[in-house]
Amino acid sequence: MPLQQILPTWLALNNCNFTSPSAMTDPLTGQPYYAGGLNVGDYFDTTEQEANSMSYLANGLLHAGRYRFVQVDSGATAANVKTGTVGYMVNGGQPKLNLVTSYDKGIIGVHEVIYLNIITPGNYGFVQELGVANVLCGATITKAGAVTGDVLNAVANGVVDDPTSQTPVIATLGIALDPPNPNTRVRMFMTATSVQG
Amino acid sequence: MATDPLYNEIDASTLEAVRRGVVFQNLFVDTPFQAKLRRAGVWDPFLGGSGMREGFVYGRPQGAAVAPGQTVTVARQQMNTAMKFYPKAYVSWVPIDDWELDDGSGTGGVINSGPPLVINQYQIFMELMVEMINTMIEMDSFRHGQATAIGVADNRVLNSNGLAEALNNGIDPSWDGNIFSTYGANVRGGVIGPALSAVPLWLGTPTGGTGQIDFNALMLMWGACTITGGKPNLGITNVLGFVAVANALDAQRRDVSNTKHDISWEGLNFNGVDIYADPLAPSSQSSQFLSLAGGGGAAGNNNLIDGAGANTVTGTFTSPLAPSVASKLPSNTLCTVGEVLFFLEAESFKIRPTNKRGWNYGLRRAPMPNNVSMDALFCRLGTNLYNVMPRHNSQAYGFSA
Repeated sequence: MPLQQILPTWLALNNCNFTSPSAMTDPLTGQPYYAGGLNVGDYFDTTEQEANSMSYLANGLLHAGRYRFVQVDSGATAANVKTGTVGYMVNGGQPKLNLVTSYDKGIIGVHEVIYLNIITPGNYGFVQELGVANVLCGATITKAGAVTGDVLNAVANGVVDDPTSQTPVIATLGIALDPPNPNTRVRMFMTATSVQG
Repeated sequence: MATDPLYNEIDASTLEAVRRGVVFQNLFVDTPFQAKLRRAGVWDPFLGGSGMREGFVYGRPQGAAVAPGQTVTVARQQMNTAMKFYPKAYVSWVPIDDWELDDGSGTGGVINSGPPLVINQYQIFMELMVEMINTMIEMDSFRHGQATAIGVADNRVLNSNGLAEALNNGIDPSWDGNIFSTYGANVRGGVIGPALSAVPLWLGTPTGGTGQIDFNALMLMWGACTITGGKPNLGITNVLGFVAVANALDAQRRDVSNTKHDISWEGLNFNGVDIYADPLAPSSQSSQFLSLAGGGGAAGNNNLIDGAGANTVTGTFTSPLAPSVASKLPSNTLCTVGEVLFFLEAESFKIRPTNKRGWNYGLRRAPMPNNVSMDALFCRLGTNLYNVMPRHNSQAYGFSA
């Protein structure tokens, strides 16, 4: 039960790409320093102001929600693990909640998370699993006249789309808080389930 | 990847040269405003209560020249009332892992201890939490502590009351674009008239651009303070505003004395007003030198913020349709604030820190009950800053360096 409201994040939440599960690595041996208090699986909730103040703006302004310190599976497709894309539980690595992978290597609909920044496969960083997330829209938006309030689904490469049918499906991630726009990050309220891990 | 063998001969035989216990401050800055107020003796500890009441006179008794023997109706109207302010809570916090750090008790700090300890990280925490609180208070002292209302765009009800709110007249915007119709919960311009009013002075152009500060502007500010019985003795402006003032006076070869004051701030004395340069005072250019705006770099936390997560970088506002004549503001015009200058009567301020140790830079350490080593450490201060005679003070904006 790693609910951890008292923890170091060392860097801005959306700028972490650590080689160590504690975020600190001995530069000589390459081994983790197990100290400081950050552990894989730590998750916590933030207010809007707290999330704002823990943002690296070059990767977007973070919002109120739940964040989790996870490892990105070494088999993930690196190009699909970037700011605003979707990750899932590893297909073949279930039921590990704190090991996530890219859209194309995951079990669609299971433990959906939003990547906050580029994380090298095999490395560690924070992902968002509840609240107001910044998601990356695909190169095309299916629905004509996409607007705030539309359902957003995960599609190939881990980007999101506004589908013509607004009925939620297994790949539905949440509700758009901004009008979906091709190749643009928009805010989305996540409708995922909350799970301890 | 580790090398084979792990240590080369230099690393196996030689440590780095490091000065023990020395860390250079490359984020926070020292500021003169509150230091000068404390020197003026306005430190008034808050001993308790539902708030801070400050009585003031706004009305007069009846009186007239009379003929001896005539009769008069002896009526009485209210002549005095009071302002009310509230203590505001400021807290800075860090998590501590007693596996990593020792808190001075000697019971923890498996890592950061013993002969290899170069920097006491716990001491760093203590000093930076105090710096953080001081920075928040300093920046808040230029803004306000009111809730969102007509004329007030930003909700800062948890923040210290500040200069933008104090030095206003309920008609014209202060430097932050807000118009404060109340002060100390009293309505400006109503029953109490202008008792709690100070008129902001626009130094920009009629089209809303920034102008130049000059001798006349300084005299107008001095006059606004003096005509109400004030004795302005403290001038505060950003370093860039200070540059503008100094350059303007020098260019006009005015008779000013350049003095060095004993808190290391280069000061200008103008007509009895010691003007100091405060790096955190409002400015349109300070963010070009200090980390004040935006994300503050990749770490996310290397920017200076006030108690609301904002800063004192100035912007623009649209002036009201009917500004006061004395403000010299153009009507309904987009105005660029630029640099800001305050002429203050230091003795008209009050700084009200609590006398309770736990909330006077006191520590609260809260263990996370199911965690083997993590605690939260809070440094706390209950305080407020306000002005009991706003009309003895003046603010001017709309000039550039």
